[in-house]
Amino acid sequence: MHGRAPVNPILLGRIRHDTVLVSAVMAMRRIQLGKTVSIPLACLATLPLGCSDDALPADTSPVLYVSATCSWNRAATSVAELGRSTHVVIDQTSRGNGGNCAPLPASTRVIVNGEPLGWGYDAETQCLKGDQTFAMAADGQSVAIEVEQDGSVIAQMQANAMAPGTKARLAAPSDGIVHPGGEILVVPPTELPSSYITIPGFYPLESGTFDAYGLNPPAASTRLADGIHVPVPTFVGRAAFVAVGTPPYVPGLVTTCDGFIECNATADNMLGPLYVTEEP
Amino acid sequence: MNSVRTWVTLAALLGASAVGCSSPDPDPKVALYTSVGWNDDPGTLDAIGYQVQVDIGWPDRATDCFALSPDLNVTVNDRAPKAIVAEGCRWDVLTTFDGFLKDEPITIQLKDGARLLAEATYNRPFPGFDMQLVSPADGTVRSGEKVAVALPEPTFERPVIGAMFYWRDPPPEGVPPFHSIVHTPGARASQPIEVTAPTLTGRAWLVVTAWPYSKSMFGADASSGFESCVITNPELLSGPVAVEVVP
Repeated sequence: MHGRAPVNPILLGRIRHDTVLVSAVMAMRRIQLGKTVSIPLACLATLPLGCSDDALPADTSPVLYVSATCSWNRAATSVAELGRSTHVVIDQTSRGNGGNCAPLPASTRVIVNGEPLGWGYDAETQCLKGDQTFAMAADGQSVAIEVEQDGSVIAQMQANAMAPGTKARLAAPSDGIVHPGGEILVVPPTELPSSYITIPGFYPLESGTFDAYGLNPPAASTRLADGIHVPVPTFVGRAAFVAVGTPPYVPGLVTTCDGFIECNATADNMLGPLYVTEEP
Repeated sequence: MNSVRTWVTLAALLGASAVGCSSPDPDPKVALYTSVGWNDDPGTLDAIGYQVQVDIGWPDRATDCFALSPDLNVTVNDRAPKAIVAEGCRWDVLTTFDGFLKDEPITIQLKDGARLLAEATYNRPFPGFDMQLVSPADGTVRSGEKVAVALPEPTFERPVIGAMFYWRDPPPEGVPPFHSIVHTPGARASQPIEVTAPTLTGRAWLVVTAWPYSKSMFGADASSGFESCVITNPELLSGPVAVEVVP
């Protein structure tokens, strides 16, 4: 599938199956045009990574796959490391040749949002492989990936809407001043599921022991017509609030996918961060 | 999906795709794959209901990368057309139409501007509407009391895993709609299903889901212009029926 259009999360957790099925159906019909039925059926096990060389362009450019996954940093060890990051994976596959890839020019570079991605060769196939995590700006929504050779771009991907949770807003208290035992009212964005909230956390920014998941509310959050009501735990000073809705998979919006055989983007499904200050 | 089911499904697909579809020349061969499912998390009230996902593809474009008209568009029934933009050498484009709440046929049309290129009609794409409200007859139920629904011809004896109330009353501006899940322990799809109304009140669409989730696949009831045209829809997601939960 060449850089799928944005896919709404139709039915909890089932979209991945559906999109693979779409690929399977289309690939099967494509190959069926000139070959026997048994060949494409056997190929289905390899989807969506391509069914055979039939699916590959008839040129000598490298066959590259790329994916970008945005997520909140659950491995943070300090306040300074809080935020979102995007994990980019790039892989090359061979065009036959016994499963081996031809060497790439030494000038080959992979650039993610202007920063170089370190890559290497698979020891067995000599195909390019690389993955790296890149920090996102607090309001960052886009990921741009380019592959350059000899100063020219041979493949590029652009994905937007990677962090729709930044559109969440604090409806109450309007001044952001909270008190122990009180609650905040969060209006979720329309792009993310919000009927059920999991893993809500308050990250004290000025004091206290840091926890990668933050402080849990003292009671369960409640989704009502006006938004998400979240009880406030006890902390001191300013804190960042985040929460996760369901389902966990949110597609990003791939707007450009040129030169790659497939582009995938997964947006972060975290609501927030929203900032509050607790007073006694 | 187990391997046996996969082979059966694919065999059915091939059979279905060979029936009722033809590809006219000189337009390139175009294939249609449609998927129907309940929209679990609509962003607006208008989006509550079934979604119709329309995947239109030109299989030969994967290798030939031929140009497509910039005026291609697709529509379902009377919905506003959506542009088909296949950037680069993409050979298929997925579009989604929301908010189907009537038990009605759907006709998918692919056009180049106003010129019809292909269309396919599915007479019964939403089998979930088979679910009927049993009691209370008027759909008004008190919070904490039971509402019963039934599937006239359940195909399988499968456990019902839950019911969802999609609240229909307009939320405050800017707040997306939401739903409440009610578990239904012990309920079976082959028997009337009793659901306890949640503590929240208001008008809602009630949907029932069973497990394991699966989909059926079949061909179009009428079509022209598409090389192949199949649809999948949920077998055991049933509803909606309109209810109102009162204090």
